[in-house]
This record gives sequence, structure tokens and C-alpha cells, in this order.
Amino acid sequence: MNELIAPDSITPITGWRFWRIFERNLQLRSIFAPNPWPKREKITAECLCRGSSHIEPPEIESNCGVYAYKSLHHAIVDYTREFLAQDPVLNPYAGAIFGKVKLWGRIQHHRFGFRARFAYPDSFIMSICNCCSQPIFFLFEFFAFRLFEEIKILLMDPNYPRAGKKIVKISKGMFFCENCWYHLGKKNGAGISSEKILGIFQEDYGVGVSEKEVWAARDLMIRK
Amino acid sequence: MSRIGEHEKETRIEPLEEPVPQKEPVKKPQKEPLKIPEKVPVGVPS
Repeated sequence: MNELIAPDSITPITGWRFWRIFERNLQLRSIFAPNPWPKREKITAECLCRGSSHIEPPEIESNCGVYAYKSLHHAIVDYTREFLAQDPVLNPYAGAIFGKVKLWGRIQHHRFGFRARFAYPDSFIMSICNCCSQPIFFLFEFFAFRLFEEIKILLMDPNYPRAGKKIVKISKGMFFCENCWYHLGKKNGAGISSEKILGIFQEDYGVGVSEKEVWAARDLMIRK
Repeated sequence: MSRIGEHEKETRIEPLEEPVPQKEPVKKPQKEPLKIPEKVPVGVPS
């Protein structure tokens, strides 16, 4: 007889995280992994461990799972560390979008964040300028968005480098703050306005901007 | 894992309703309203 195990909670956990935007259909993707986030469907963590396949990621002894920070503070600390440490162009969060996410299923709790089995975006707060890596707070600040085509050379099979290479064209979304747009971005063509891009996210993902969270993030970043 | 620090514990969360917006319902074509035929008065000579 199968033993029924009661869950620890029925309320999803709230986390904070960054995403990238790819392709003409403006799909959200993880920063450090190629996983796309489906529209109006939960994302399910996949096992990315080499040599093993976990049945129900995330396992304790693994790096699998959908990542999120425990609090706005922890997310801002990590972003600030990257901002101060590197050239703005090399900042992994340059061009990213930031917001809240709901997590559920099997969850591994870490000191500053979570690794979860299931997740879906909850609200958007800000984006990070591709040029200067400064934050752009939604609803309060102008921004422009453009898709740039990036050509990447990838291995046909990462496990067998001799299998050959393929050329892939990827459309990558980039955000520009007002200053960088008028000095750099605008010269290379038209962009999509902030109202339109947020409207697209509302329609496609059913996720909008939380004014309360934008104020909280803005206050926290000004203090830092 | 270094971005989120060392592991602390594991939990399981099973919400009664998953926090995912519904997919937009398929719009059904509008049906034309039924046309009610006019009643023929009884006793009218043909």
C-alpha cells in the first residue's frame, strides 16, 4: 500500500529572479540556462546533471531546479555585486528583466534562495540596461526594447564535440535606459516602447507590473 | 549554487490551485438569433 505523505504547505513560495527575453515571440528564458519559460503554463525543472538523471529534480545534491532569491534584498545584493565587479557589458544581468516568481512542488531551501520544481512569473519590477547595467524601474522610467540577432556557433551534440557544429541565429532582447537609448540605441533603428512591451507580457504571460514592488526595489537600490 | 548559498532544508508545496493564469478561452462563433415565423391568423380565407 502506498503511503500518503501530506505536503508541508499549500501556499506557493514567493521568490525574486532575473530572466532574459529571446526570439520574436518575446519568450522569457533563464539567465544561466537555455530553458524557455512557457506562456500561461508552469515551467518544470529538468535534470541537467551529467551522467545521471534525477527523476524528480531538484535533488539536494545537485544544481537542478528553478532558481530564485529568497528576498528582494538578496537579489539586489547579487545584482550590485555583479555591477561593481565587472564591466557593464559583461554583467550577466545586463539586458535582463527582474520580477517576482511563485514556486511550488519539491523545493530546496538555501541560505539566500530556492531551487524549485515548478514556477511561474508573478509580477515584473524592473529591467537592467544593456549598455550601462543601471536598473530601469517599470512604470516610472522610460525604456526602449529591441531585438538583436546574434549568431552563435553551437555543437550539434555537446557530449560529442566531433559530431559537428551548427550555426544558430538567436534574437536576443535588449533593454535601454533613456540615456543610453538616445546616445547609442536609437542610432541603430527603431525600438519597442515600454508601454507596448509591458502590454505584450500582460497578454502573453498574464503578468503585469506591481507598483508596490517597484517602489520597494527603488527604495532599496537608492539606499545601497 | 553559490549565488543562493548553502543548502538548508527541503519542503514540498502542493497548492490547491496552481498560480498560473488561465489560457484564453477559444472564442465560439456567435449564433444568429432564431427567427420566429409570423403567426397566420385563424379563419382567414385562403
